[in-house]
Amino acid sequence: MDFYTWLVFLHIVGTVLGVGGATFAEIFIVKAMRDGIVNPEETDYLRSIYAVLRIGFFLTIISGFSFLYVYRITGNEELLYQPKLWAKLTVIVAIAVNAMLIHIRAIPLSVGSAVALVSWYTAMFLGVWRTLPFGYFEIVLTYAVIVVAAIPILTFIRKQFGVKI
Amino acid sequence: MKQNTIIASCIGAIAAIILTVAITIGGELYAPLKDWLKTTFTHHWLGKSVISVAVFAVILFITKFLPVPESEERIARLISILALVAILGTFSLIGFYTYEYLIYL
Amino acid sequence: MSVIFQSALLLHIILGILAMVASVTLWMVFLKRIQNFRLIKFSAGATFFLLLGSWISGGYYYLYYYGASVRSVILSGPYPWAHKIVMEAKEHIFLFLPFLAAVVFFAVLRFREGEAISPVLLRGLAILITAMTTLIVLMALGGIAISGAVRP
Repeated sequence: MDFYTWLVFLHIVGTVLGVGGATFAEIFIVKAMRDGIVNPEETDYLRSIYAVLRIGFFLTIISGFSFLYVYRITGNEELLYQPKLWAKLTVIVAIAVNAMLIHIRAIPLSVGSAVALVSWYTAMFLGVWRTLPFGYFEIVLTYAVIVVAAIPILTFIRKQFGVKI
Repeated sequence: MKQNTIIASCIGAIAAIILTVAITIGGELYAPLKDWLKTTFTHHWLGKSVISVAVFAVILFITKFLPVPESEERIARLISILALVAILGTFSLIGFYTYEYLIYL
Repeated sequence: MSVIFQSALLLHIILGILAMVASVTLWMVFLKRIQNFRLIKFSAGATFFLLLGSWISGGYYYLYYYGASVRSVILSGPYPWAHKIVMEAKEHIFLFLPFLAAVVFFAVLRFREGEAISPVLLRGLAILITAMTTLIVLMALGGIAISGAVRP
């Protein structure tokens, strides 16, 4: 397996862990909040999921920047100016800032979890949709609108599952 | 780590950053300064690196042995000043090079 | 680009990214209500030493390859601002980072388990770590913008 294929493999593993981790974090938050209290066992499960999320984030960052290096040394520098790439970088920064805000309890977990979920799926979507025909601002604006919309939608869904808010 | 070492490193870092910004902008506006860096250090950037490390090291060394008042509040104040200097330095450099690019466009 | 310069560039990028990860880790761990002093010291130290490594490897690439082979390509290409603004700013702002990291590292080395740290000092360090982390991220983004402008 050549170096580039290894990078693709690592990037996919990182994305899977991140998207999967964000999805299961949301599921476990719903399960944990049904009685309004997050008990120590539930905290432990969430801690494990956040650890998996961090590993996924780390793998995507390292492999992602390695891709950019490969583009640079193989004469594909024009790929570094793709609007889709910069939108993805914006989403990655949003994931990190959101994680920090959750960490310091500056935002409620319900909001942070929604932002994380939408962000990870957006990053994956941007990676998969090779021929995305939109510019940077169009992509980021759409992402921001989806994030804002997701918060009340997820709150509604959580209420249907009996989450006490 | 002793309080006076932390205080000394804060002062050294503040001085290093201010000097880096001053030499950088000064060198762009006054060619002989940049030429001096090139001839002395073979490259202007290498010169700035060496000078900033030297300033940091000298101030760290000198301040460590001076009777500076030690307190966590003093360290906190110096650290906040350092953060401010770094941010202002960043804006100064970006602003300066953006201005230079636009006026010569 | 010869193997040695490819390696220098790769080392600069990898060490820089690892420094960014260490700095973000430090940022997150530092801002927690109950802090893990061991992890804080480790990530602060890692940030400092990784930045030093990135400085040296990036400096080698910059001094012996970028000036002679890359700069003129960018300046004559469609994105000359990538050198005139981004690279010029980046190569000098980068010089701030090891000193910021050194101060953070020295400051957190004082932390002892069970000892209270003054809220004023915590706040000051939080601001400095935030500034340092933000600058490191800007450096990474700047590097992408510069590399993307190399259009022979």
